[in-house]
Amino acid sequence: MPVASCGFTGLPGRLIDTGPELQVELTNPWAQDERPRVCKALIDTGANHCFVSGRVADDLRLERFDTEDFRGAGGRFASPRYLVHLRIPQLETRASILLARLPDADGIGRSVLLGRDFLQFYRLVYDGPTGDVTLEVGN
Amino acid sequence: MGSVKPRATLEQNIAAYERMQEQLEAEHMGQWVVVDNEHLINAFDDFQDAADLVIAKIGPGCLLRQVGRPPAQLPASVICQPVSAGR
Repeated sequence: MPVASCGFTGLPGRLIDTGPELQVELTNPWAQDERPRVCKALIDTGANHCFVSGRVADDLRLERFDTEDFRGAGGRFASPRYLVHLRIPQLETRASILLARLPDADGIGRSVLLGRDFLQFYRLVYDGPTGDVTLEVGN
Repeated sequence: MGSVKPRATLEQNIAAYERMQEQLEAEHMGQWVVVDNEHLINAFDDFQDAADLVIAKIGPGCLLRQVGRPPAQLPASVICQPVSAGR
């Protein structure tokens, strides 16, 4: 079973600073002839949903399939949810996923944020002392 | 010849979902539903099955939603960023 490395082996401080990250490929299901967009995704166990930056969503011309009312410290706002094909090269997996638009994702330094609705299908092992984080498909 | 009714928009399908919400929560709680042209097309236990139907046969404009989904919250990684982030 393939295992993806999402940490920074031997660099536990960097893992503290940036969190686990994973390379993913996004494709618009209605534009499958186009090259996939390669993105760095933050794995965030504190998020219950998955997000994509507005810039990437616009570049891929993603289609809306729902809207979501989000509550945050800055108040409420409505955000589209897009249906996307997400491939994880390290795991050799590909699946459809709903990503909510995050207007200002630049602050987190990633184009994609993978939350618990994604992680429900995976096994994540976080080894703080070594800086290793691994992800594999769950049983 | 009668005029052809244009296909419902996502907003119209969301409004249709809200009209059906009580019934959907009674009969399909936790399932993924596809609403198109203001009608329930199907309900699935597995999200991938619902997405496959949407991608293969329905296309953009329909609503794809989990019945009884929990309210969404922005994660702390997004809410709380140091002022130096992105510099």
